[in-house]
Amino acid sequence: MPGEKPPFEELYRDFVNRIYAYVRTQVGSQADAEDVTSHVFIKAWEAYPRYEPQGATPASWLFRIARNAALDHLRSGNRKERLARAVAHEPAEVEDPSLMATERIQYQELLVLLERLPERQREAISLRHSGLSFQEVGALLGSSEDAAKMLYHRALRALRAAAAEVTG
Amino acid sequence: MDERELESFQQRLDSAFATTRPRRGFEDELWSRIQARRSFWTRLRERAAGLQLAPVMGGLAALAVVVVVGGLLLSGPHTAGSTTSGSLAQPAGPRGAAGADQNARTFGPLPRPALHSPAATPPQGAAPSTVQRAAYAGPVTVTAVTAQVALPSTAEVARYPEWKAADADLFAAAIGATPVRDAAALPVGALGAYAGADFTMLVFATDPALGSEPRVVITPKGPEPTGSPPDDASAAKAARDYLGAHGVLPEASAKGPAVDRSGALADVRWSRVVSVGLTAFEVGSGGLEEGWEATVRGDLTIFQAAAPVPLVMDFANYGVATAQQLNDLARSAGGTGPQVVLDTAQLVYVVATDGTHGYLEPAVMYIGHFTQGGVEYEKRIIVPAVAPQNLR
Repeated sequence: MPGEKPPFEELYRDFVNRIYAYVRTQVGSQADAEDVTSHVFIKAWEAYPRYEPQGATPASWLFRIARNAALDHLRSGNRKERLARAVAHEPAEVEDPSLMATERIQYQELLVLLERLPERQREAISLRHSGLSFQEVGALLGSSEDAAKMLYHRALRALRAAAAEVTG
Repeated sequence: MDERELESFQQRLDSAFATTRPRRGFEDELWSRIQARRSFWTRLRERAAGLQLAPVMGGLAALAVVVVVGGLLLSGPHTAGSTTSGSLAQPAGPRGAAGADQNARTFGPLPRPALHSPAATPPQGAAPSTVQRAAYAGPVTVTAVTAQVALPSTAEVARYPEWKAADADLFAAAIGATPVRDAAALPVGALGAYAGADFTMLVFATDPALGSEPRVVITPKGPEPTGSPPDDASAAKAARDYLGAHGVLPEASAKGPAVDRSGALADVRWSRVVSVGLTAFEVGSGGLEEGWEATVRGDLTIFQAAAPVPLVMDFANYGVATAQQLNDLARSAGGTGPQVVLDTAQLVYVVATDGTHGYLEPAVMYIGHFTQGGVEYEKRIIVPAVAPQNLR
């Protein structure tokens, strides 16, 4: 809620998994997602004294940092190539069986499908399902709350249609 | 596609995101890395924000470096004079003796240091069970002052010309670093940001709110720390070598090094101890000591380093406050909050500035404790030792 400034550790513990999940949908591989997530929270830690809760919720503040970090990461390399490499090789490198199962059943499929969406649609889906309100999604994407809702629903339908094609 | 199908698909997405987690241990590893940076930035940020020190910081604060006043104070009473503080082995500082006023008997009325700015809120709830004692920056009610320091009738005040951006540029150039950012992009209080062949460096001006003198924060390029920290002796040697190579070698008279291992890093700290009849330390406005510090990875490379810059200082004697005045100041400085008896006192030096010069002024730091929510808190209250009539 705007106006309250929790201790940074509280913010960190509350958001690290959500930020990681969001970043993961943007950068493709587990290793890259960890790198970017680390960068996000170190940057957030350094900027926290200047963070004004009246101006943005902790969620929208952190996700703005995360979005910028992910974009910077993607600009630094050929995203499609990295993504393809991650999708093709990562399961064999995952040691945790439960994590591997999650990757196979839910996440990896989602990653591939999200990759096919236009960038803004992909972000709308990722941000919304990372727990942000439509108002926060809109603010991050530079649009109104209503426009964010419309974008999200278009993206959702497109993603669902893509999933239906894959599963036949 | 009907709404029910769409809703089901949303739930799949929710589930996918909710179950997407970093590998086991990542969360704590990253937090450790943030903590490793914290030792340097805590003074610069949390104290500025007036935050209660997080309980987890209690241990770090207790282990923080004690920084001392200029080495010249060791030479006994002075009238006005000037010299350069800091290591003689470091590169030439940006200011020479011409920057000091060698004829002044005193510096006139002194700026008042910002010694205490209690946070608005007392501690809330219990701290984590792993914490035995936490530093407390909030207000307290001082019920008694049972400690006193036997002060001489006069005490020395050191003065240095404030650093400007040009001074920071010169210092950076002396260690082979060049500016990397526009002034508009600098962190608050920074005079300049620089890059050398294998490091970046920020130079900060005197910060009266923090009570910190001009200092550098050096961040070498390199990977995030992993594995085991180095042994104490190797870490201390690596830290000393690195500080020396970057113009901020700890003085020969420094106390230490003290080594604190945390995660994959060893934090090495030095205190610059001086004697003016009593042992005196320089502390920041929150009562935490400042000084030379470097964190060392297991492979003996440096993760980060911070230290005061070399300063040109001159000195003058000032009359000090009476014991009663000090007692009254301490009693009135706490505000209203948990009840505390100040049962420990020591002479310290604190930083003040008038914008043109920075000053190291004598002060008395009182310490008391209270328990709340099962946690013992330590409260430090600092009052000026310079007689009130000598302060602006």
